[in-house]
This record gives sequence, C-alpha cells and structure tokens, in this order.
Amino acid sequence: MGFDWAFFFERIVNPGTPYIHALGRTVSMAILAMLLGLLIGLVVGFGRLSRYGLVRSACGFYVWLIRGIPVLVLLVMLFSGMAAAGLFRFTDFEFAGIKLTASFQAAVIGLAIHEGAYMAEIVRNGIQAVARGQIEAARSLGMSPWLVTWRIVIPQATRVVVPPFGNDFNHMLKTTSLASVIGVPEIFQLTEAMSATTFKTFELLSVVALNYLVLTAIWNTVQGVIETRLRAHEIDRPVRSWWQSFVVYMTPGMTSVERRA
Amino acid sequence: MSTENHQPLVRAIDVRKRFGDAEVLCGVNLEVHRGEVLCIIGPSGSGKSTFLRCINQLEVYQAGKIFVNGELIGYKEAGGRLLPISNRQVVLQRRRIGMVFQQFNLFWHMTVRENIIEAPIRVLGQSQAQANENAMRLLERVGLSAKAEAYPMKLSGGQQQRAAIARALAMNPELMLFDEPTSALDPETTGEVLSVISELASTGMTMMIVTHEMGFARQVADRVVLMEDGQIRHEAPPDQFFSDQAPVRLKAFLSTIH
Repeated sequence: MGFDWAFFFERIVNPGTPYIHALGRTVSMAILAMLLGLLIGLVVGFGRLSRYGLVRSACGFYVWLIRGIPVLVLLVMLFSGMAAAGLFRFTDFEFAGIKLTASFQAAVIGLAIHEGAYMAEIVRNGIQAVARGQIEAARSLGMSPWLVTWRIVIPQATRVVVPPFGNDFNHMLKTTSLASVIGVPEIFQLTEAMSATTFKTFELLSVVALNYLVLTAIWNTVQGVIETRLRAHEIDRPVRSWWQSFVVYMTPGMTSVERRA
Repeated sequence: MSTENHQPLVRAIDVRKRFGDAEVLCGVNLEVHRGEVLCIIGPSGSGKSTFLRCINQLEVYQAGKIFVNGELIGYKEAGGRLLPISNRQVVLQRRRIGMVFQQFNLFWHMTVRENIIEAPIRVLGQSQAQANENAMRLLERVGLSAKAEAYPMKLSGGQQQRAAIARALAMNPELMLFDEPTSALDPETTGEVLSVISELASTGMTMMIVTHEMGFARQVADRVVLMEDGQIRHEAPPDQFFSDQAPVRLKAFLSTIH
C-alpha cells in the first residue's frame, strides 16, 4: 500500500475542529501541569533547604517517592485507582465557561505532582548555585532575609533554573500523550481513535509526531529568548527588552545561550 | 552628646568564637575610636577575618562583648544573661556598618549603578532619583563614572572592588570594614584600590582594614595591630609598629611576609 502522502498532507493542512481542540488540550495540559509543578517545585525545593529538619525530610521524601513512580502509573492511580478504592473521584466542572473534564483534571494534577518532584531538584540546585559571597554582601548592606531572597537569590537562581526548566517543559509537552490512557482526548488519543477507523495508522502517527515536533520547536525559541534576556549581563550588546532579546537570539552568532563565559 | 564622641566607636571585650573544636577567637580586646584607621595584620588563620565578620554579624561570637557606638552587637542583656537578638535587630544593626570583601561580591545580575542603589532604595527607602544621584557622586569619587551601566562581569578586579566600596559607602556607614580588600587583585590594580581607600581614610571615616599590604598599612593606618592565634599580640602606631624596636615575635612575622 505504501505511505499515503495525499492523506498525510491533507491531515496537516486541514486537521479539523476536533483535532484543533485536542491540540488545545495538549498544550493547556502541559502549561497548567508545568505551572502547578513549578509551584510544587518552589515549595519543595526551598523546603529541602529549610532550617527545620522535619521540613527537609518531608520534602526529601516527596522527591524520593514521586521520582520512583512512573508517570503512567501515577496517572492511572489518581484517576482510576483512587476512585476504585472509594478514596477520591474526579468530577467534571465548569470554570469560567470552560468545561474541565474529570480526566483532564486528573491528568493535570498527576503530571504536576510528577513534575514538582523534578522541579524541586532544579530549584534547589538554582538556589545553591547563587554565590555565598553575594548573599553575605547583601546582608552586610542591611538587607533583610526576605529582601536577600527576593532581590538577590531568586533573580540569579532563575538564570540557572531556566535551561533545565525548559528541558522539562519540552519533556512535558510530549508526556501529555500519556493522558490518553485515562481518556483525555488530546492529540495522541484522537490519532489512535482515527487510525482505528481509517487504518492509515502510520500516516496519522507521522502527523502527530510532527505536531509534537512543532510544539517543542516553538518552545525552543521561547526558551532561547528568555535565556538571552536573563543573560543580559553576559552579552556584549545591551538587552533591555523582550524584543531586543528576540532579535539578539535570532541573530546568528549573537546569542550567548550556547556561548558561556 | 559630647561624651559619646570620646567613647570608642568599636569596643571589643574578651571576644571568643569557636568553630567546633577549634577556637578561632580566644579573647580579643580592642578599641577603635571615631575617625581612626586601624589595620589588622597577622598570619592566615589568626582570626582577623573572623573578628571582622563578628562585628557585622556574618559570624556569631559566643562569649565576650562587642559594642559599636555603645550598642551591644548580636545580644541583649536580660536578667544578667546575654540572649541573641532577633533577625530584625541584626538587620538594623548592620545598616550602619559597611563591609568590603576580598572577593568583591558584587551582584552579578545588576549593573554597577544598580548594585549601588539597591540597598539605599530597598533598605533606607531613598527615592530612585536621590539614590541615583548619590550613586553617580560615589562612582565619580572612586573613578568609575564611565562604568555605571556596565555589568560586573565586564569589569576588572580593581574596578569591581572600587564599585563594591562605592556600594558600601552608599549606605552612609559610620564604620567601614575591609576584609583583605586587595588579596584577590594583581599588583597593578591593587594600587588603584588602595588609593581609593587612602582617600576615604583622609575624609575621617572610621575604618578597620585586614590587610597583608604592609607598605599600605604603614602609610594609611593610625594604629596597626598584630593578630595571632585568635588574640591581639601587639598594637602600636605604624612608625613604632614597623620600627626596629618592635618585639621579636612581630619582627619574625614581618620578616615572613617580606
């Protein structure tokens, strides 16, 4: 039979409304899970450096536990396992006119719990990367612990955190495909459903693979611009706005993202 | 108050500090008067830096007392016992004590000007305009006006240290602590930093300088002290300190550096 190129291009040019919606779910699931994961990561990451032993242990336990469970298992446990045990059942609800299905909620929360454990390590590393001397200098200037954290530690930790954060988001965009297992109609689930009726399995999988590639490519650019902006002090040309960052990132040889001092 | 001016600005009484089993400060007694420039020399590991760091509470001393401007540093007396003060009190006590570090420690994500205005705006509540004006005046004083908008990474070590001095001065301190300010610099840039410190000394700023630069100590100090094994072993005005009549132990130390 061979590869049906006409069908392949038709699916790319004219994916149809259900597929566009599915793409929306993929992207929103990734963004929501990432933001929630970042929140968990910030709390747990700072917690791992807490002065209280109990907090450190609890946060360390979270990281150890979650990093030891496959995301797929975690998602099914959250959605089906807990319902089966009568512990908790996700239910559909409307939020600001948008219907959030039970499976979508479970997927976002499960992915966020998973991401939070990894993000905690990224955050911890970022905090620890800030030179001790700068913290001392800030203290010697009479800055309060809160001011030191907010003005010195966080901005510098952010620079260190963005590359691994971007790496995780790239990963997250693709990990959302696991949500198909608990019935979230995202692009992979739709692809599988369609291939069952059209038998154009390879063509459809090629389309969905290309879609993930485009999503990660877009994120790649966004991440590059963010890194360029945050590395303003390492670039020969002043970068004082997001637009300048974009221009500098897009100009060959100007970006310092790869070229570190 | 006239009596206050006769009282020493810094008074250390039997200050002790240990890290685990090692006692680093074994009873330091020292007074520094207003407008005085004191240089502290001594072999590494003698407790010079630790003593300086205890004054602005980057380290906590465990026994004895340090007073700055008559105020007990780090502790409050309650019922005849010394209790550690709150974080908030520590932050307040640090405001009037400037510190310059061996490794400069500029904030790397901020330009030189932003480094200088940060604490005056956030801690003292100065307006942006006022802080900027002050920063530019200080930068002119340390000869860095042209580098106001540069990031620390683009500066030489000497320039970074001069910026760090300007940053500390922006808080309008009554005491400046220098912890080996030129030890991380090459000989060419050492001079430019030392001349900024000398200029500052001539303005009547009270300063405590830990240094290995004997020529500089001799020229700028009102008094030089030798620290060894966590104690002050010898103190004298520089001409006596470095004279032929100096005690044998001091001469032995001085000969190791030259």
